[in-house]
Amino acid sequence: MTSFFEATFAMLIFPGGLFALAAGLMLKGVDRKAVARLQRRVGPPLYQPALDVLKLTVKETLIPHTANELAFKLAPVLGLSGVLLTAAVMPIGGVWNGVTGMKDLLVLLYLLPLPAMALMIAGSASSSPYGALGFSREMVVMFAYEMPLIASFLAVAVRVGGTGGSMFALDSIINYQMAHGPMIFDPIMLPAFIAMLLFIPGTMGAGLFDIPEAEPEVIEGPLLEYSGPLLAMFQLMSAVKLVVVVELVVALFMPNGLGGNVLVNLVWHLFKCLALMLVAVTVFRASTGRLRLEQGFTFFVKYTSPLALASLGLAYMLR
Amino acid sequence: MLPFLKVLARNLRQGPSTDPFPFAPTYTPARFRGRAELDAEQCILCGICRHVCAAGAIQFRAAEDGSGMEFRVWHNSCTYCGLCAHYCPTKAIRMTNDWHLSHKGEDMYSFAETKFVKLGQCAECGATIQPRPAAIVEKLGARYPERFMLCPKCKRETLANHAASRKVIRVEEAR
Amino acid sequence: MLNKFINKIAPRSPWLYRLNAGSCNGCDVELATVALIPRYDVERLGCKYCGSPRHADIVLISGPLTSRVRDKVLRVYDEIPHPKVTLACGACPVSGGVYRDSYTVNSPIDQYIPIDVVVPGCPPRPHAIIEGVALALEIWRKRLEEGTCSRS
Repeated sequence: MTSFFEATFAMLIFPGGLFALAAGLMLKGVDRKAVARLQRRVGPPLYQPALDVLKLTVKETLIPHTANELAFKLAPVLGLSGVLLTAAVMPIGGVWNGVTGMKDLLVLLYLLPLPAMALMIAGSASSSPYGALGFSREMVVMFAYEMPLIASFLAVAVRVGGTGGSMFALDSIINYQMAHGPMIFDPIMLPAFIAMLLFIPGTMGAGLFDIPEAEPEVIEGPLLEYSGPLLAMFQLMSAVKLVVVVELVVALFMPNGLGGNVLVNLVWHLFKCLALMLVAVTVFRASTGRLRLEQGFTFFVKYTSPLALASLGLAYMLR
Repeated sequence: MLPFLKVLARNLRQGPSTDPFPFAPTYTPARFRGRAELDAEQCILCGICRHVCAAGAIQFRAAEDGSGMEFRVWHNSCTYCGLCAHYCPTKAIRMTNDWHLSHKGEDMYSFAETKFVKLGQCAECGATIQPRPAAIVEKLGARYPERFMLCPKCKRETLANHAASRKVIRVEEAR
Repeated sequence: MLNKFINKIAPRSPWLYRLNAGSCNGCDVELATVALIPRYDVERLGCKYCGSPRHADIVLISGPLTSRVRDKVLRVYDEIPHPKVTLACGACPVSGGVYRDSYTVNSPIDQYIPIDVVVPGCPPRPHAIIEGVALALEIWRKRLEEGTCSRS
């Protein structure tokens, strides 16, 4: 069990808190720059998302008089604190092993939908028809991508094996991969990895899966009525969420560091996150259009879930 | 398979194709139709520009002392179609290729090209007539330049005197 | 101190919102060109087109404000949080352009909405729109430093 001091440090500074915020804003900036480059544009500076957030703090906050004010104001707080908490329990291979001795994979399963839940609350609290549409779309997409997520989690956990509680502990997963090589080179786990690669754009709403916040269709859906600092919190939430999902895939499939140096491992970890984001988010955002809601749903049910389930079945049989 | 990846790779290789405009000057085509400009020396105040202007941007106002007309094209109403320049008989109106026209809101009603066109004077009696710039004299009044500079009344008189002196019309023979 | 810093850097992240006040779509096409075509990449200035008026900083108004949309335009304009800057795109919002004498047209638009920047043209060139946005940024910066807004 970790001490109170360690837990606070993990929450506020590293790997949650400030580190996650900085990494998220940086990843977002790289994402926007890379999308611009892939489309033959120059693009904004790398620190543009940070500028956006700072700018939003000086804007006026407007709250619709028909909105449920409490839920409207609390939704971004819930979302941001949720993802920061998720970032705090996320282990970084070779640097920090996360909260030891807990079934944190199950905790993650409950924490990961928090930003989506916050968006749902935001959409329904804003009393706008577009917000309601965004709410329903967010929910359908969440149902679609939860299935491959859970299956991939189970596949990894079954592959690692172990007894009882240690089966769902992230540190045992990382220790297994330190000993046996990363999961990504394991042919059995490859389908699950591909499923997770598709889960990232799904949950981040990138490219094909930009369904709940489709700007031309439901004018940013749940975020429609938000302005000023509350919108800034949603921006931060989305940035940290990007870090969290990318770090999750890194932790599950390729947490291996480069030797014993903590700093080198940290840089290597960030590099892996960056590469994963470029593959899973940027390319989608730069090149694909948006699927319709039912197409997006069918995509996850038809292609992504079977991939993850195949890994799970193989891992279970070869246990 | 996945042809868009090829496109993306090509885009990365070719680099940005962005015009450096706000930070560096950009290319403007020579015949780009920008702000309309009047050369007051060439204008004969025929008013065809005002007549053909689709947007009603061109106005003429008489000066209070009667010495001339004020020509005005309001850029905020102009559609930059170039009809005025096309129909101008003396090519006094010209579409420049200047498109740096954005301005602050408080200037929006005064953002116009204003030129004062002086009226001409009859060479004989001094009455005000339309201006007679050199270019239009060469073009339209080349045969009788001195008669071209007169007011209608004086012109009639000179014509009548001329006819009488030349005895062009012989009243008896015509009868 | 912090506020001063934010006021200094805030104009580097303007979010644009297109408000079509009965435009013929000529200006809207040019605005879309500014946004989407790599050649006139407006994201270099930190701009982003946003779908919701609540997120907007710079409002790009096109069209002569027809009677049909007048009330809706005014309502949407009120939804935009301060401080905001208004940019009138094209001839129509200021003078009515070729629609100036129509009985359904309510231009000049500054009877209803304060206009900060005007970009003349029918439609304006994409470069001219970018120039107008740059001018609007200066006005926005000044407004942030003085703490005034277009309402005052």
